[in-house]
Amino acid sequence: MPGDTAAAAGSGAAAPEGPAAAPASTPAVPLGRIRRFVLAERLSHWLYALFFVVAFVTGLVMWIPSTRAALEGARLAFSQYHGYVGTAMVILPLLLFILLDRRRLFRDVREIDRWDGQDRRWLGLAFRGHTLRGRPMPPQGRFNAGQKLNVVLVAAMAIGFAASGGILMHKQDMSAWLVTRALWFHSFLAVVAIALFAGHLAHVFVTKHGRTYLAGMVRGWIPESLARERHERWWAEESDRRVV
Amino acid sequence: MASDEKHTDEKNIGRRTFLGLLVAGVVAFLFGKDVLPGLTTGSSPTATTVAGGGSTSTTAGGGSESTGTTKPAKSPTEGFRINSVKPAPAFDPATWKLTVDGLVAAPLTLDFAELTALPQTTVVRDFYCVEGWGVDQVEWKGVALSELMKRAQVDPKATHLLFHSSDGVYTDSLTIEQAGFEDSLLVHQVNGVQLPHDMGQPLRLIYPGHYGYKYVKWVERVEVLDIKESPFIGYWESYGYTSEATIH
Ligand code: HEM
Repeated sequence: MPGDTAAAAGSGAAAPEGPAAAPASTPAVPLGRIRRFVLAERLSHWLYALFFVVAFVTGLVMWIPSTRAALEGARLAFSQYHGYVGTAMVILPLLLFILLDRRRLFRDVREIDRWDGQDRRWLGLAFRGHTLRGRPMPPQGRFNAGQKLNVVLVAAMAIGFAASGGILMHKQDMSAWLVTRALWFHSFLAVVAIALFAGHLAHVFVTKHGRTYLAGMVRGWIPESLARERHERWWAEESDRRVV
Repeated sequence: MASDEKHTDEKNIGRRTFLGLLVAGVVAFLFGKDVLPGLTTGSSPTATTVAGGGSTSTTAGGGSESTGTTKPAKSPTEGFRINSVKPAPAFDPATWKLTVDGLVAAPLTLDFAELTALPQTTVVRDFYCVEGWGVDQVEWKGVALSELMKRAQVDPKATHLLFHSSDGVYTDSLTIEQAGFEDSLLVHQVNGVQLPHDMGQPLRLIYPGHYGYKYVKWVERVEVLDIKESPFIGYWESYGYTSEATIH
């Protein structure tokens, strides 16, 4: 479509410098595949996932009365370990991302920040169940609106966990007013986060293309067919730039 | 045209949503607990185990209210999250004894009936745990430590009372001055019923205004010490909590 091509040309402004410039930011992959995530993105994702699960399990152990009682005096040390895992969850993936590929990080953030009318429409329809029923959806960029929203939620919750968890790690020096609220909020976040996580996993294992996306987060590329079907605008940009 | 349209159409929704969520988070932090308090309290509806007979012992002094035989619909231990490091043996009124010894002129050994025959004190105080949960307006009934210290004739050299739990591991201490506060008690009733087992039956220390880890459960021995001579360190204190346990 002429419109799409125009948009693609706009974003691929480096094109006149020759096709060789493109693969630097978009590593070449065999035909039929599209590079979706670079190493920095994948490592950050999996590191975050790992720490999240460990934080959740250790948090749960402190929350369930019987396991909590079984910890006896080790409870205090356990709570500190849990705090370290949580802190690592918030800091390490971000740090790694910055060290490995800062520009890619900024690019991703910009992409997730910017929503156009099609994104908004996409999200509205998704909430009304159109994706589940396989109805046609507005064309999307590299991330669909749901994926963007997920990242925003995860980032906001990471800050909430860090703030409330930080208070809890120093609860002896904090006012009772603050600590009671921090504990409540932290537990509340844990419930919300695990619900979001369950939804995330459901998208991976239950939806039609979930496993293909999963493979994308593991290997870094997805089949061009999926990109064309679900991320049409992104696919148009990428296929324009690819060295064939 | 198409691309222009797209650009004017673009908005920074990601960052707006992010900031909106942070604001919502602050609001939830401030008010959530009051709207949805159930998330952090460990209160379980299994409090029927509280039973053990709603103690109708007549009191020798004070606290004549709430010895009613009808139990309130709400569990008397509602809101308490049960924390103990080790389970204690079950309470047996036939063999149970409280000992007060150490630097005293008249060591005491009291059985449960003797203990409840002493002058009783009832206080209503907020309970607060260092973990960040609490229970407002708990009614405690028992014997003032000042009463026990008077009867045991504590040596003027003594600096601390050390409370031993029958679980064999838990200890904590108060200074003589702290123990002399009018609401520092060894209690056997909470909210009008006998302490349930997991709350320290038959006897636990209360030290209002301070964190719950001071509230030693299953107290069976009060040792009077001069800590310059025999230093010790309480259970949680050995893991780094402060001995003062002041609630900020
Ligand atoms: C920066 C991140 C985090 C920090 C610093 C942190 C720290 C803490 C601390 C200090 C406690 C108090 C434990 C206690 O002594 O009672 C706690 C409790 C808890 N945390 Fe975290 N945490 C973090 C992230 C997480 C995450 C990601 C989850 C799971 C999704 C989680 C789930 C929990 C749960 C379920 C509890 C028990 C709450 C309760 O006892 O009511 N935390 N956390």
